[in-house]
Amino acid sequence: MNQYLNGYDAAVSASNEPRLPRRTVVTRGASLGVGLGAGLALLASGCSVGHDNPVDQRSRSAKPSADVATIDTAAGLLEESIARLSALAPAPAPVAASLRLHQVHLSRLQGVNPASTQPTPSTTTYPRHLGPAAHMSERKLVHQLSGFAQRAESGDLARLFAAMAAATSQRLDAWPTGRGAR
Amino acid sequence: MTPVAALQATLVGEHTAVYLYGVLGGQVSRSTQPALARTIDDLYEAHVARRNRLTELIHAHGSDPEAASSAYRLPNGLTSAAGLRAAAAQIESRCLQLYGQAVGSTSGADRAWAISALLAASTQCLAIGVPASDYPGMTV
Repeated sequence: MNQYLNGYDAAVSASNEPRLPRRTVVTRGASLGVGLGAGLALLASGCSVGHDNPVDQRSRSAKPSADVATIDTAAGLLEESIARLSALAPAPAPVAASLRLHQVHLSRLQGVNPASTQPTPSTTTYPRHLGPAAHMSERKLVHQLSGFAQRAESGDLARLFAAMAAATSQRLDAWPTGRGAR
Repeated sequence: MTPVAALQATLVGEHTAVYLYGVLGGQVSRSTQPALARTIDDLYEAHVARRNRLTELIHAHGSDPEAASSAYRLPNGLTSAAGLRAAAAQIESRCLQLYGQAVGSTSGADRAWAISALLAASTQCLAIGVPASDYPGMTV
């Protein structure tokens, strides 16, 4: 199946694509009591492994404190979202999938690698307007994560935040007030 | 990877996507598979728009955009709905990786556009059956 997609193969193989290690990017040192120094070291080792693109070179020479602070902020937002969605329990499957996703993302930021949380199809029926405020908050989280990706000095960190935003958006698409309700 | 190289790589991927979706659109039955046909049409249009925008971005850097190839090797199995969906899912998955790469290799307005493209592509691909992922656009 793959062999016909030569254009993609060429593009991807030429990219020296960054691959974040599965255990990476522990940076929320302040809240975890790790300390800023340890957080910076983890950021350096987790977000800039083996990548030589100009963005990464710039990030290595720049003060990493901005990225550390960004990750700390992102972790805080994820914790807030987890608390918000947990309050909706028992939640329909799409909302529960968002909750599990945030837990995975938070763990990633904290350097833990839990099992993946692929959503499972559900036939659960639920109110059309379940949690409109929560829906709005999730949409805002997508926007915030995108902003973190935009501002990240590390290219790898930018990619991570963008992927987190995209995953959050994917889950949100299945919410009752998203595509699934139409 | 330089920002322009990342954009060029993404453009090559979009050239491939546009070509292949053109083929898929010709293979799908609009009478017996209208929903699939609409999805393929929508994805084709999305890829054309992103290809065109990438061309503009690369021009703005003073570089010549990569040209499309005259032809691409086609997948097998395009005679069934399952085969069409599988081919489309493969296209979308590869494009997500390219946009993730573009996000990590660019900055400023280029990165902003790459992020928005990744977000759009990550939700559009759900319609063709690409499963939701924890990290669309990343290899983890």
